[in-house]
Amino acid sequence: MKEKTHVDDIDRSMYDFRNEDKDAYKLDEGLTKEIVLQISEEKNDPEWMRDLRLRSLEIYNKMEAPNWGPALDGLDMDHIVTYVRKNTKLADNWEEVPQEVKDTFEKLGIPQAERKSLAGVGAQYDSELVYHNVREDVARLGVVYTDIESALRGEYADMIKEHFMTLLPPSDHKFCALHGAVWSGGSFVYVPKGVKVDIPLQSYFRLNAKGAGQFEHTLIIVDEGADLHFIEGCSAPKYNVANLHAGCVELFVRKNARLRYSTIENWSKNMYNLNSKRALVEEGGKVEWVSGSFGSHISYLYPMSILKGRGSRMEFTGISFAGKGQNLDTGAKVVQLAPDTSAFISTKSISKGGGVCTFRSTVKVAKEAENSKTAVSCESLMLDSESRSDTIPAMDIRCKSADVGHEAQIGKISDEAVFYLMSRGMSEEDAKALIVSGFADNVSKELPLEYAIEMNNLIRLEMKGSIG
Amino acid sequence: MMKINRLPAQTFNTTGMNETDIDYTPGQYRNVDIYEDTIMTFDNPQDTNINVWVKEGKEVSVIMDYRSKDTLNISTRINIEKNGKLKLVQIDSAPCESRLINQVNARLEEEADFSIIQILPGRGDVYTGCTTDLAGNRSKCNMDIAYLVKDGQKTDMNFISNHYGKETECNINADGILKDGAFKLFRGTIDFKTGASGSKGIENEKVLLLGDDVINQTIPLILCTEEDVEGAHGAQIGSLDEDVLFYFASRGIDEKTTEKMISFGSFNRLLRQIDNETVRENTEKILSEVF
Repeated sequence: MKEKTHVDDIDRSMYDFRNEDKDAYKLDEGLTKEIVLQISEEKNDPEWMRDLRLRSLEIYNKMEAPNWGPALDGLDMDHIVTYVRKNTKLADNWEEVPQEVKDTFEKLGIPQAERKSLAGVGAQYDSELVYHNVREDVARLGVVYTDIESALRGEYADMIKEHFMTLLPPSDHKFCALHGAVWSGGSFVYVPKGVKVDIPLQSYFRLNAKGAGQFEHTLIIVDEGADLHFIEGCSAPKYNVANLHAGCVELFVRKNARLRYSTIENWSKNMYNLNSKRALVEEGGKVEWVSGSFGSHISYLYPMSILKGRGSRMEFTGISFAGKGQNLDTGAKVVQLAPDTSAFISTKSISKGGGVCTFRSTVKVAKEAENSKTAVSCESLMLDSESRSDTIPAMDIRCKSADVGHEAQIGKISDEAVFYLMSRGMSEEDAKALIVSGFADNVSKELPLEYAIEMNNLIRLEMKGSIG
Repeated sequence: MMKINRLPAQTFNTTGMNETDIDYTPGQYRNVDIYEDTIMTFDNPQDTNINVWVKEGKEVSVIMDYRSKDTLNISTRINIEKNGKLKLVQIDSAPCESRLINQVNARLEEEADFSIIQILPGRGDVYTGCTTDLAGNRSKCNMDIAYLVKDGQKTDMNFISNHYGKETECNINADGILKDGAFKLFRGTIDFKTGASGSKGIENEKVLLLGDDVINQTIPLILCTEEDVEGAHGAQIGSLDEDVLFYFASRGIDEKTTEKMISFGSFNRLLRQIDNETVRENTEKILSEVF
């Protein structure tokens, strides 16, 4: 009998450890006005923020959940704790972080990465940041990298007020409204005009508490001619109840600036990952998204780029790997509003063991976006017939001079490619191993080396025999 | 209100592409059964159910020529038995300002072959679609559409190929031209069901944008629950390439004439497939008037 290739599930052992949350402060389960006001009080919100929370709650209560994506039946907000805080203060030195929290991030490799290859790190544990630091030489350039609550009360308060939830208003969708009501934690980054940050900043979000939600807010402003690479990582231990992640990421890329936003998402398989990300790109600016989605039970994730300025650009490179019990509905959105804009979306997905991968996208080219170009490409690999892979790309083109191309492919490993490699002396096994591992290359080559290695560890492909 | 052209997998409601509502209430349907080669002309706006039966091993050709003014609502059900073959040509040759609602559902048994050709030369608003169930092993379908949308017209399409049998094949091909004020929505779905091993599906759409204020919406889906399949879709949307215009200009052909020639070419490959000379000449005449 022909032996099928065995492709391992993602090895989650390095993420699946948990701490007791005995000394944590947490609010009651559920979502009520009282809970929202408690969070607001806990965080000492300015009045406008408290009003935004209450307005968001009203919108949340009125809005319907999406009727087009994976089922959200297992998510019961009455059993989600929206705020959990470890009894510790925000530190800028790892020695001041409580031992078990520090150990958590040590296991995840964050302090090590900070020492080796990062310009700054923010580490969030449940609802609050526990560590935030930026290298002195980077701070001297005027780069601001801080927790968003400090920014909300400090010298950047007006800047936060001007931008917070303007790209992703609470009315955008139900889980944006939820975020507006209960957000907590996250980072604020400001890169001044002309400053190029050579090495990346990273925020890492760890959700430890059982049955809790994490609602961090990331706000990044890259001013004219500036350049930044920001990395976001996230993980959680597995529980037998639903956890929820509904963060928001708002990115402002000013004239001729460039921002690369990389994400390695590795939530546990009980997680509902209903995250929202959006970038506004001005004239000559560029946003680059690099996205690896490996974890979570259900994901809804479609980073959106609004190309507002002439000649603004976006690139999205993504990979999803869905195994047993996972339904990852991911993709990208782009709106091209100005002339000479360009968008390039390239995604890959792998489904196995009953996992479901859906690529979902929208491209909108407005009448004013003359001579704009768009290319969308997605490739899906099915490793068995228990799994599912869907491609749902929508295009809405309203400009005569636009040039839009789309291509998608789905299938198993190509016999021709195997034959070609075998004709050059490789064994069938090696040929197939090479093809499958090479499938993810377009994403890993876009990541810094340490993260590429992490991603390759995540997709540990063990080849034996043949696929088919 | 009539709901039509529903996407088999729904997406963001903000796209407006999930399905279409039409302000039309069907009246009394007349029923027509077809068993052999037929040319049907529809001169009156009578709601009609058509059943096409292709018996085992038979080869049938059906031409439907839609000439009715006002709203013409036609629903066609097709059953093609083992080794049967059907070529269905549907032409919208109605007077301008008409409206066509045209739905086709086909079921194919083992090694059956179905070819549907739709020629839509911009006579009015069009709501059209075809759902093909490739139930039998090695059954095949080919859906070929050419359309022109102009002057504020709306064309709303939904073509679905459901692969159930093993080694089934489908090819969906749409060529379109959009002129001033046109609205067009093309939905195309290849759905590989579990068990459809060895199946292949290809979908391709080319849209030429030749006017201002056009809205072109395209949503090509591949849905898959079977490992051993090959599916691909592609879409190219844009105006005439500079190099093409230069090539024609260097031969003394101006831009307007180039546009006409290329637009006509999109339809011409389908015209050649109309087996009846009278219908072909009539369709050719309509096309020469619109371009």
